Amino acid sequence: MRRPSFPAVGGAPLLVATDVRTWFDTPRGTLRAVDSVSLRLERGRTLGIVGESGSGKTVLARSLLNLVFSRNAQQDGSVRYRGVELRGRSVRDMTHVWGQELAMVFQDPMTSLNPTLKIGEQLKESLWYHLGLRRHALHDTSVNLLRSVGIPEPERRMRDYPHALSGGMRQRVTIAIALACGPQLLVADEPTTALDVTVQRQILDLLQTQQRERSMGMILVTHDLGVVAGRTDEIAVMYAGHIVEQAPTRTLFHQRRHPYTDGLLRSIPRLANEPHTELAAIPGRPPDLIELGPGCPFAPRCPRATPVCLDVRPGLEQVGTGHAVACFNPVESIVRVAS
Amino acid sequence: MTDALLTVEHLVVEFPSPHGTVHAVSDVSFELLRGETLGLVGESGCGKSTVAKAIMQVPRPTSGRIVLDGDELNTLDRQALRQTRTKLQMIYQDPISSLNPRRKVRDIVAEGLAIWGRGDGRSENVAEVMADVGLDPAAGDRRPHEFSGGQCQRICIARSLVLAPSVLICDEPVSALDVSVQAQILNLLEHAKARYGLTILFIAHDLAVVKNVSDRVAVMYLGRMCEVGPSTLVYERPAHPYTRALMAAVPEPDPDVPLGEATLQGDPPSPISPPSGCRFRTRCPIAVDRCAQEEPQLREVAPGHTVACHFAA
Repeated sequence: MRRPSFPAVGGAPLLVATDVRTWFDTPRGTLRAVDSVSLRLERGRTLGIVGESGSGKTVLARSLLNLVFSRNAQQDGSVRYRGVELRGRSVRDMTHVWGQELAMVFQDPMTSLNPTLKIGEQLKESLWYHLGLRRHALHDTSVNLLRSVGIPEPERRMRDYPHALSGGMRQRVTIAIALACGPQLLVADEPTTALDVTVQRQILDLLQTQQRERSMGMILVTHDLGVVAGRTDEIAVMYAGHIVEQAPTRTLFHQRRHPYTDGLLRSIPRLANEPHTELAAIPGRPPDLIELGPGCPFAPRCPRATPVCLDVRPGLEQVGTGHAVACFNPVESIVRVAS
Repeated sequence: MTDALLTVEHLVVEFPSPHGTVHAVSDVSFELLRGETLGLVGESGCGKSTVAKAIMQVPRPTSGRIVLDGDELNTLDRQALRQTRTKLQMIYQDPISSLNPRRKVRDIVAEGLAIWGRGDGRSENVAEVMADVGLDPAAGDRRPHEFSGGQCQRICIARSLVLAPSVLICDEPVSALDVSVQAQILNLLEHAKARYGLTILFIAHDLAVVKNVSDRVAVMYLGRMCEVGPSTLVYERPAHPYTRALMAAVPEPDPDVPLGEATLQGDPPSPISPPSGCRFRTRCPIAVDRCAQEEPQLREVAPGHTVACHFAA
């Protein structure tokens, strides 16, 4: 019942992932959802993982937390949390790591909350299980948690079922549950995609405040470059299961080198554009992760592709401080976005 | 206003519910001018999709007039309405679920022609429209599940263009698509508009998307119209506090743009018991007592720019 001390290695970074690979066996062949991904995150920092649907970003997020349960999954590589290897740990071994050390917020708050249990019950569960809180302490801590995530009348809300709350309020509840046991790493997978823009704003602000107050490490997974622009220290761009570019946030926006990152940023409609501005769309569509060829997965859509791109996959190469790109013909920076 | 192709006057749509009447759209009036794209924005539940459906008369609105090119849609009988409705076409948010998975793409695109006895479905017309939206006419023998979301949206657009409508209503046409594909579809709509001489009502929650395609913008909140005006004017000088808050909340994909203060707290109230007076007053940073008692009417603050707020200047 008591919180077991986590056998962290002193001075180790919060999270180091090396060569993470998560493949799935399907009737059509092997689906390479995440392939050779390496990441590093320090305490109190925020990493954005950006990619389109099917780029493998959600599988990556789950892989980092050991949350891939499929029997058909082939998992390889190493994920070290505070110096301790997480990969290969059984669910039993993870029980006290999830919640207390690592927590996750999912996209759709309606499906991540249990519709048959009151909000209070769902909040109390992990406080009871992990922290051994009982009775008044349990109740008071839950109410305070709801208050800290900005839920009005928390006492009353404790007795509500999830359906009685709006989408934004539900997402606040899932954040409260994720934060309940004081995790040091929070992974938020598209936390605001199901929400309206004004509510999205509130939830992102909430995540950011909580991250700062608790000096947690945070991984923000999203398809929306606007969401990560002002809120991350570093961004990794995923395409077809690979990280194609990784850089400190400002560098990524202003000195991007990968043609995909460049195309993505150019294709976003902006408030500053005049009406009827022709957008620079990326032709084609993302590849099938089962029939990936040997070359760069972006080559068929890439304006800068050369014959070699179709045959050889470029590895991530350092091009600047903390800036790595997987491309043979990177965009010559420095592109400054008109804003 | 000159040459309105579609006029919506005092539109009211209400639905019964176990908890009381849902006031989905309350007294909304606007005009869609010939050849323009009007963007209709607002958050979920504000009634923007209900407006679109009411224009199509599915279901018929509770009250109000909808006039398309001289025909008053809400008074037409079933048969006349069916005929007139060919001039109005609609595309929806989820392109995959709006296509019948059991039918071939060519038959889906040709269905309107078949129903109205214009051509036999294998006509050049179908091939031409498919080519126009960027579909390989050879794809006509395949079925929707073989296509991605973006391709399915192209099929939906082809299906709506084949009857040569005068008005195209797009209800969140790109919100289910990835950014790189979204840009393709937005460009396609612009080309189709020019080529087919369309007038477009473009409904979306994404302000940046709407700005990119619209000549004029209308902002809705909780069943009412807040602000209508030329895009450039509304975006440069938003006069309604809700429009301002909405714009401040858009995440700009640029780390150098400061985030600023979030001006809007909480969620919109329920459309079952909307606030008295101005419906935005419960979340409005500048609301005073007058806002609770007196409903602000749309009034002109600049040529063609109307705002429903007591304090708009």
